[in-house]
Amino acid sequence: MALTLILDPISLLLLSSLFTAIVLVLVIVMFRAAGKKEERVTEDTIVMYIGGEHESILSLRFPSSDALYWAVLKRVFKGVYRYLVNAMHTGHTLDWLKYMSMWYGFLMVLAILITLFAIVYGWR
Amino acid sequence: MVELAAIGYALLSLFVFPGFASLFTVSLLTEWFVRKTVAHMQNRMGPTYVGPIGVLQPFADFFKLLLVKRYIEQKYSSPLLAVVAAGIGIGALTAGLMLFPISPLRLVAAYDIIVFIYLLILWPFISLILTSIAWPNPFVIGGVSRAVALAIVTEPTIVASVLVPMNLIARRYSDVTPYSVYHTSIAVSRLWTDVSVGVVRYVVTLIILIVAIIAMIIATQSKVMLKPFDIPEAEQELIAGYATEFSGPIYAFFRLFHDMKIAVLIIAIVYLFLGGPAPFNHLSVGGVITLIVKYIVIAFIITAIRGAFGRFRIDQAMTKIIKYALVPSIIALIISLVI
Amino acid sequence: MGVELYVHPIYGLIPLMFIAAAFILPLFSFFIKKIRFFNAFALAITLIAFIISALILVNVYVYREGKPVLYPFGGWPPPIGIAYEIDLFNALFAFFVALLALLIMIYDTWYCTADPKVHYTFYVLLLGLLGGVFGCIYTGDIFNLFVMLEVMSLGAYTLIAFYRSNRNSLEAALKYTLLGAVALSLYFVACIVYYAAYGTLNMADLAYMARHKEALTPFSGIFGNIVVATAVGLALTLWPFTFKSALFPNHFWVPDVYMSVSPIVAACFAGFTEVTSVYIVARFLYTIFGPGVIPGLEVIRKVIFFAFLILGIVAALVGAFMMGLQRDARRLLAYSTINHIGFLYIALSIGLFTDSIDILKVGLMAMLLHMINHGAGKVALFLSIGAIMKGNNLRDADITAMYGLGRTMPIAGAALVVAVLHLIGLPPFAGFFSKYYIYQVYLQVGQPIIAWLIVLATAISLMGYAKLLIISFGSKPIKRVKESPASIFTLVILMIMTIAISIALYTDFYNLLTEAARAITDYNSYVATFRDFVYSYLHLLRGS
Repeated sequence: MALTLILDPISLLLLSSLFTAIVLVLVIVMFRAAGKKEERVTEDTIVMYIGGEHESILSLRFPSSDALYWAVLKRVFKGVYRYLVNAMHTGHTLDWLKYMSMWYGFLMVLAILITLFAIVYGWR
Repeated sequence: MVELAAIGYALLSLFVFPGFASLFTVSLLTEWFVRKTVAHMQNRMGPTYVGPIGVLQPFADFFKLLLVKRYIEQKYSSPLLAVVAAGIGIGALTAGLMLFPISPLRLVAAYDIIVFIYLLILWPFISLILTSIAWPNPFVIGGVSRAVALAIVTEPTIVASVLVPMNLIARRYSDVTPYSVYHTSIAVSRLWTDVSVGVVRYVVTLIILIVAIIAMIIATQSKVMLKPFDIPEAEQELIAGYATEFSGPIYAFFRLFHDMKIAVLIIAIVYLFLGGPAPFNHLSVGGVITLIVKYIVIAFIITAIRGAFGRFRIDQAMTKIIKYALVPSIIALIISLVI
Repeated sequence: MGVELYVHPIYGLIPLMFIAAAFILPLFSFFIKKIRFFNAFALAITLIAFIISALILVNVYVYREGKPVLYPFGGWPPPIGIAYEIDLFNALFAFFVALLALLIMIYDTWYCTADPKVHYTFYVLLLGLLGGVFGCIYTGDIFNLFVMLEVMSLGAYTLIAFYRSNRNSLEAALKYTLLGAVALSLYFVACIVYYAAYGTLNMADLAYMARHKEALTPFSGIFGNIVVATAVGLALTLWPFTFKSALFPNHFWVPDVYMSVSPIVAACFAGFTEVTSVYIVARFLYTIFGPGVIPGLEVIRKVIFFAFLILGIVAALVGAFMMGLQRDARRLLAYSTINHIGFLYIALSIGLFTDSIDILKVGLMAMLLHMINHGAGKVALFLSIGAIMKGNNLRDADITAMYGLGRTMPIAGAALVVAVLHLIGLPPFAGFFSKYYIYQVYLQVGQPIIAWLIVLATAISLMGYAKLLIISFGSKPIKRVKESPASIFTLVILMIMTIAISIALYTDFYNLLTEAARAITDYNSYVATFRDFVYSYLHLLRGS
């Protein structure tokens, strides 16, 4: 009764994108047919709604890109950022070297362990 | 001949059932249900006059906004971008429903959980951002940034919760195609009823499925921005947050998109965790009634939470989601790997 | 069907052409002063390189049906001489690098006239960088790899320091140069160790001997035990390449470098210079010391894959977190690059869980596709931000200052949005498919936690990408700036690429990618080409 199409993922994706696009066209057609723009253009309808203030107030203060997230993230991910920003990404080359040599040291320890195993167990 | 049938099925699934028309109806009915229940919780009447017991109120709202009200253009606005973004969101939700067994034309692929995630979770989120940014305003930016911050913890929760039943099925029943939405919806009823795996495993399976459902419901609450997570549109703080500048037909489509999100997420919960119309078939009377009952139960839980809570602060909301939804769902996922 | 088809001078032409052009260019400066000539010269050379790389790809894919081709330099047979060995992975990857280089050069036809500080030496260094990159990709000899890395790095070091009156450039160049020089010296020591143990420097020869220990010749084995030597050699090899490809914790140089260079150089770095090192790591771990090596080496391989998996996940998370708090758009893109390199290494580490060719094929195909997608998206982002900065006369890419400027240059703004959505991995842009295949392959080997961690890293990186989106839509009174045709052309082509790759995956391109991924694990045909050439060379010797 129902039609089950077993597809590979790419076809599935292209097909669902096609369907999304069809519904998008439908929505645009509905909007174009029925939606009307406010005809009377007065001063208070073409500016942003900033709680009744005039737009020039924006030149005074503007939410910077920092303010978008930092206040929130600082409280939630406090521990993560404290470590990341203050301890790891300090900008000092010597701190970098500490982390880089940890990885290099891991590789060297691996090499030394394999050497020891080769000597002890006779891996050839 | 079979291509014509396939095209016929596609048109039916896309526009009629469970396509645009049905989803439109179901989502607006869900909105009525939410409004009526919350009203009764708050000792009000809710929608009463339009249609019997006010059922047609959201439809009246939609058509009034679309046909009668007009949208106000702003100096920096782009109405086309807003409509396109809302249309993409609505389209993604409609097309995503075709992954489920409810649709006459089902699109199935192995590992199509990933398509589910991107179509039903990520595209609506992006279209929310783009629709809001189309009418720039400092309050809109504030609302959008809060929505983004909230989405960072919500999206992984939804993914982890949905992976729990899929993982269990993939490990336990090797005859089922792994990590596919359609096959999981059919096989999940076996997880609830299959006692032959041993008492301990069965009990642990039940526990982690219930934990995953709870995490998913909390994440749904946050994703559709109902209280206590309706921070991005917080009145008093942000005028109306990301919805500050919407008006007229744009607002109609935006509310439709919002309601469709609720409906589709509830359908996803019903199918992926509760097994859809199990133990009946789709086309039997018992199946249809079971489906509707499960849908109403989940909708009622969401509405009850909405009515009972106030609004959280943004950082409170994020920590609570991490504590009560994200971490339990990860633990459930890890347990599902070993059980 | 003798030696001619798989040995041909065209296979070794590209790096030599670039280096020769780089040395010829200063001679022209004696009598030509206009910068547009040097740009046209570099563009012509890059165009020729693009055509040749396309010819090589067609030759390998169609005529040789995916089997590698070889070019011995000077006619000396490998392993005595240096040989370039090109299999399908190399050819396809180099073709995309050539395409990106060509697009960047076309963009530069406008940028060189807009940038007051450019000088003809910029093109000398850029050609040197490109020559080094192609040499690294095509080479079949580990010491020639060192030489080509040096060529590439010399160009890179000086290009970073090109704006020598800018403090940030000098600091970034100094840090990168000192550490990069140390890294390459370590790789040199690794080559010494390999040569002493195996007696050969040829990749195919090493691949064979790592799997058949009895093939060690009387010339090899001074240090006798190849397990020990390979362990030390791999340790000394992998650190330099993880430094060059900016895997955590070697990623600290990336933000400083990307913030202080010309957008051309930043696009080159993000587009192909870093991912070349990822390709080299894949070559070492899948072809040379790949599946099927002797058991002692297999242990090393698994441990290294495990380390790469952990580091890749941490790199993706660190990049995603740090993206969210950057104020400068180029630093944000630098951390986004770190994020994506983490994903590449996660895709590379599929060898930890399986040795089956079917799953490895999909995993490495995902890695190759992600390299291509990331290159296209990042180049588009750097070039569009460069265009917006230059068009509006901004000195730095502060996001708050750039709020809404995407509307002044519509094509650049649109390219910004498309590239961001492509890098987030939104269907139907091609960036979705590479992430899809990484998820699929990890779900197939039964590791949904890793797939979920990739989702987590993507979700966290949404913060940073949303900031970039705000550049395009804003609320300032706008004044349209004229965009140059070169920049429009490049950005439009890159935008088309993001969709075209999706659609192409539906056709034969998917098979091409999968065959390329299979080729990098298929050491048999890699060795067979090498051996066939040596035998046919020996046949030509008198008295044989």
